[in-house]
Amino acid sequence: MKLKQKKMTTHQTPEDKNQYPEPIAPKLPESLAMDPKIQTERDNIQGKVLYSSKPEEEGKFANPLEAYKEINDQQFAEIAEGKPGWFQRALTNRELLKARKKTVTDDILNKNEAANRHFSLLHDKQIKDALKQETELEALKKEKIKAAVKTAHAKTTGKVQNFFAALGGAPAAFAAGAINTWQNVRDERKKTNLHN
Amino acid sequence: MDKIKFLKEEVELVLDSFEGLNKDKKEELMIQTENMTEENLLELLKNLYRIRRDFIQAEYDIVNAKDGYLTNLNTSNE
Repeated sequence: MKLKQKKMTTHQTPEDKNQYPEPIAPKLPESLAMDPKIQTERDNIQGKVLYSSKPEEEGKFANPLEAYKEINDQQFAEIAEGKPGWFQRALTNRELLKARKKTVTDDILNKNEAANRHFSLLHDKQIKDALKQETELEALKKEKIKAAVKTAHAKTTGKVQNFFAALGGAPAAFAAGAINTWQNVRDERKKTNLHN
Repeated sequence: MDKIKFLKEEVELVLDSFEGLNKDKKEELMIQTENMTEENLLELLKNLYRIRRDFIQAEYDIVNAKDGYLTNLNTSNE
């Protein structure tokens, strides 16, 4: 008896079901070359940051984002694969996840503060364009988050699908983030009237 | 700790990591997990991890793009 072999494209492997989807469009513009002063400030800040609660892992990652993605992916893999002992490993991962989340959040906030300080030094005539630019960037970010929730919604069924429908119903709050916007910086500047 | 409890806690931890998600919305979402089976919770979590990855990447993209914009602005004025 002939055995029928299921056709598989070069892009599909049996492992694909547990892989992340391709990056979701739209992509934000790539960062341009950094102001040397800001770069130095950032390096100084990052140099003091521990990416991990394990000393032997220091220096393993190029930046806190990579460290955080790694532990997120590891937790995903433990649950998706369900190999023996996954439950205990996932429990242990929590502390590491918590430590790296704090590091990554601090890094984002530090970068945002540096951008805000830079913004506060702009001439009044440059501020209008900068605010417009930030609004566009925020819109792109929201689109990316909405697309991720929409994909999750489409990939699930029943109660799980209802969960993502509810999550997608709050895109503004969900994608707003905790970072201060340049609008806040401008309003503060108006209040203090330092430059006007 | 049993697995169902662990998985619900994981859902809550992932939601906590979404900066900006308000408390009421989080509670509304957690109520939806109350009667989920272990299979449902696993499916939910796998997708939440994917979203968390995109979310944190988007946060980084925006702060990096803001820096890039300002740097370019300074350079073009020199």
